Amino acid sequence: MDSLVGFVGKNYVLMAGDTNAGRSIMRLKDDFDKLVQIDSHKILAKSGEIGDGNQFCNLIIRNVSLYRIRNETELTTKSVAHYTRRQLATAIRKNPYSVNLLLGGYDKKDQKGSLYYLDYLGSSKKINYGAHGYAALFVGSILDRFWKEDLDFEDGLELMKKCLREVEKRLIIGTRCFLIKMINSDGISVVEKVMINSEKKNEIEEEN
Amino acid sequence: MSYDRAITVFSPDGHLIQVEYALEAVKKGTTAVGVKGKEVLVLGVEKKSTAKLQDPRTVRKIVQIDDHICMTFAGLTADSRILINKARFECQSYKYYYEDPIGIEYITRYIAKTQQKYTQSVGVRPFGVSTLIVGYDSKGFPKLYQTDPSGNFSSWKASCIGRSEKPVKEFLEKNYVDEMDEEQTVRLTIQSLVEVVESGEKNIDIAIMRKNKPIEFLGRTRIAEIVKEFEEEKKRKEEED
Repeated sequence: MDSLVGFVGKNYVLMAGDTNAGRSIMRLKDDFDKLVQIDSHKILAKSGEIGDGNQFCNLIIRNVSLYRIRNETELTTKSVAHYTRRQLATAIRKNPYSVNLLLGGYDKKDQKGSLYYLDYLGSSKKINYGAHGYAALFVGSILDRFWKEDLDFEDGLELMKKCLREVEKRLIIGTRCFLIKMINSDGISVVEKVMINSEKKNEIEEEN
Repeated sequence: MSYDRAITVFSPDGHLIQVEYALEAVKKGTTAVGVKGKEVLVLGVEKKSTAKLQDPRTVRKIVQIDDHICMTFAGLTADSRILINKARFECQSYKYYYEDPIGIEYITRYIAKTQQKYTQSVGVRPFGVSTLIVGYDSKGFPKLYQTDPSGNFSSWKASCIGRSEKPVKEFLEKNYVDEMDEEQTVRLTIQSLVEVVESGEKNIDIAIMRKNKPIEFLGRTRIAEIVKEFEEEKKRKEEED
């Protein structure tokens, strides 16, 4: 089951997703990137059915590109969130996409990052921090306690690792490998591919 | 209102008069030039002189269809808007289905197909637009394509559409050489336009398409510099004669 975590910091958005792709008890792929780039400053983190996720994200990416080519300007994160929500809402009334999303983006105009929580029922909410999947059960309370407004990057990364450590520790299904990405004014960058092994106490190995 | 009559029908001597009239409309439009260099593509357009109170920046003749494809047109601006919109949609649609960026010949074929459709459909008239499409093909070679209201398309080394098609084409045929570098290609484009554009370099727009790079519009000062060099060269030649 997928884990997605995201939160907003000082002029950046940090997002992480596990890199497992599986089918029932089998792990098909352990380097699966769930944080999909929509345009230069937005990431759609997808969880749920893999096929639905691919199809839906493709649709959003292509329509956002079309808008950019037509109007010679990029959409704001808020607009993309609203558009995405509307697509999900119309879909569930016919053939639902079984996809839950976190949309993170940086807007040059406001010079701020923002994060949106969207789910397959067509709900959408602007949030400061959130998660999807089993991670949401554990990570919610950690972020409630430790998230502050305007966290700088090092503190944010430490907080993210704290969350991922907890996911690895408590989930009975092995989710050890996570990919962390950051969005800031320079665009999207991969921060780390993290492999967590909680048997070695509090030790985190970096995998590049 | 009966839509059961086609507008474009054959004349007794085998011509599609409406299509030929559409070509006449293109001949009334402002000039557009495209030149292919060794590893560069340059588009040049004559901008219609804007009224005093009009904002010149909103009149854009060179447009991007996708990140790697550009086009310009001559003829009815409103008609071109429809074609450009359809082309932009098709580019994204292609990427949606095939995950690859669209090929330049593919999109040219699509635009030409659309133009032809409107010469063989009920209740519609042909597009009064010829287009010049530039981009790089899958092997990385620069390509320049031209379409016209009849739905024909072909690849060119250098071409011109619009008002001054004849004199500019003659100029290009005389002065074009294969495998020009970027500087030479830009100069040839500007030179071909300067001869025919009445109001001088202020009404010329030049765009350069380099491989794997976004389109670049040449700055006003640079165009003015190059035009000045031409004029000085011309003066020198006249003095020698």
